[in-house]
Amino acid sequence: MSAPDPAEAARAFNRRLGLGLFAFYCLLYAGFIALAVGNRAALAAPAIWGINLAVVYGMGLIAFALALSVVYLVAARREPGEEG
Amino acid sequence: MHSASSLALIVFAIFVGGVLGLSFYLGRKAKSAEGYFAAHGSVPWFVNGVAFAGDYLSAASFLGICGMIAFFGYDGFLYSIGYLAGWLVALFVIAEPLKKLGKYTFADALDKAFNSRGIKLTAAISTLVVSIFYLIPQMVGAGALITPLLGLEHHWGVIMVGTVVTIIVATAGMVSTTWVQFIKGGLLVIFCGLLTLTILARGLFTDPYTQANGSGHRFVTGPTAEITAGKEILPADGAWKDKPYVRLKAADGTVSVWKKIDGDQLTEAQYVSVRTAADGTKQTVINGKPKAEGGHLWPVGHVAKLPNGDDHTGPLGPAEFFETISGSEIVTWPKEVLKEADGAETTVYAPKIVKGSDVLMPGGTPTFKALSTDLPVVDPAKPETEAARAKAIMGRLDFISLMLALFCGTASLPHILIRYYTVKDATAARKSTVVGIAAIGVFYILTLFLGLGAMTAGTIDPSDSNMSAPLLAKSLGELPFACLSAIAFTTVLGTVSGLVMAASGAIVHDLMTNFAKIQMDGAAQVRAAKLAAVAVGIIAMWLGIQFQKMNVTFLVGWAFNIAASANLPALIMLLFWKRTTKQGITWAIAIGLIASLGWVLGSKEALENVYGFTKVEAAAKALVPFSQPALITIPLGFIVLVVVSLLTKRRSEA
Repeated sequence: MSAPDPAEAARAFNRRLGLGLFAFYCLLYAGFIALAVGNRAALAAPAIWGINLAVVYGMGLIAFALALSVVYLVAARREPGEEG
Repeated sequence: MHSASSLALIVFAIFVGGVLGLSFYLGRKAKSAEGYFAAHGSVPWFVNGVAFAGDYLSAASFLGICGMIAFFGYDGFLYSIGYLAGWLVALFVIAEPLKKLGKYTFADALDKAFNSRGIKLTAAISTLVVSIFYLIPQMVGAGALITPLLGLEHHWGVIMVGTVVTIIVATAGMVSTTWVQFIKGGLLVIFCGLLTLTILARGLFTDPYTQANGSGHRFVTGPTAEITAGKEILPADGAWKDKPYVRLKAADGTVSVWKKIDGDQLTEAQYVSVRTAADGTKQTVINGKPKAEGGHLWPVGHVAKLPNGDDHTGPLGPAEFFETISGSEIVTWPKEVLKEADGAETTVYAPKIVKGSDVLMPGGTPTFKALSTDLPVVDPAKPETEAARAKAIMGRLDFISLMLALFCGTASLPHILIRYYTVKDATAARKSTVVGIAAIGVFYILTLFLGLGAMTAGTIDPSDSNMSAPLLAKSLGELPFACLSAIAFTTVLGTVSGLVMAASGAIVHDLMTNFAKIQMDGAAQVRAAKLAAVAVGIIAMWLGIQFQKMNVTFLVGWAFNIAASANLPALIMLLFWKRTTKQGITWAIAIGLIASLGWVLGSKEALENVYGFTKVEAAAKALVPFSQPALITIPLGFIVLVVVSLLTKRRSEA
């Protein structure tokens, strides 16, 4: 059996990593939609510094998207020969 | 009334001229097809990342989001959240595999494995429809910018942008487009950051009309007897029957409109009345004065009451800003259209005090009103509770559908996908996407400050939400206004030229050359592309005038619905399902496109704002239960693709 192609191995790793992070973010995004649809009182309640959860969660989704994309950038493997 | 200012005009002209000059200069260098379409794959990742932001933060989405927040509060921010989340679909799921597949365009990538005429045709038509739908809000946005800047009517803005773009489109290639987008993207984020700092430093106050750059007009509220004294009360007949308004005729014949409020009081409203005369000319009267003689709406929007009863807060930190808004009462100006039997139409804008805590919650727009209350409980003894519950459920489905469309739409937009081919490898694609997400994310966080700033600055034109951000800048001085208008206008130019290029490319490259097999040499192709660009430009201008009254972000939302419904199932299944067939892709695109487009055009919002029905008529005649199709049409695309692929696979194996 020959050794796995390193480029293919890197692509497969990145695909798994990307889909995993994507699934995690989907849960957070779906949680926001669920609260907006079904639990208005929770979104209206103050979360931090007197700001309601709707604003904190909304801004958090934006900030968290950036954080996850940085995680992906750092953890993703380069294919051989790539300089970026 | 919007009048031109010379400083604004000079700054605007210098800025737009500079960007156009740069575009022409860099565009001259791109000679080959690869250079023209993909900048030789050599754009540095950081530049490409900021260019992503410049490309994506079209003036339309920027003007529209700020405008929607300024008019309705938090609902506009839902678009910010959804637009940004969509980038993760692009980064984590689509970008890298797609880069491995394609050459220059979305159609090339989809068709690479199959070489199918059906895919070429449907992908080209989808690109064309999505591009045109995305063009409409850009054109509407152009009109919204030109009106306060030059004092011209909306349609002149649309015609100006359309004409300039149609003239320059042939010269722009991907190199020049990228650099122009980089400059605009960077400037937009930096400038909006400065604007936000200024809003926070200025704080909130209860009487913005008498501040520097304020209109000077203070709206009157008082006892009915006092307000009506010496004036004739016009009968509340026709369309005015059972409405909460009082029309007063002064001694000089001018008519004013007032809204009845608690405690036997009246508060000043504003109105625009349009009547068609016997000779067919339209006569518009605004606040008692003919428009031709300078009749105009006064700017609106202010804090009625601050939490501690002060009239000015002084500088605020970001958290304090939200806390103060939350504890305040804010005056908004919703409209009501009254249609007389003789065809005359009066739009009344009347003040409404809303709680700041409600402004910071979803459910402020008429579309998502259902979110502003808990789901009603059905009482068997009261049949009307069942209807109320059904309506509330539909409203919630509409909201879920929008959030799904925004999430899935970004990765399905042909003009965003194309940018992945301008960097040299997957690592560079990743890095530039992260830079793009950072720039776009910062901008979207700022939209909430800008929108709420506009809501309370006493500068809103109640008839056009799209002008809120430029008018907010105007309240801070002519220079910020000129800079903001110039940045936004060049962004419109850049986005529109990119979209017109994508659309004319779809017509000539995909439809005429690849699908219809029309033999053309290079020069003939260029001629055909220019003609196609002119045709697309004219269509876009016409549509931009037709859709003037709609909030541009709402329109961008529709473009996302159509893009996601037509393109996402094909993209995802091509990348992740080995049994996908060419017929499956062709039918998924065709059905997704037709279903989502048909849904949008048959919705209540289209009937009311595009075809001119009243709110009640539109609700009765709407062909679909809610306005955003994605919740139905994206799964439909997947189902069609899977079923057709399985059927056609079986036939070929038999």
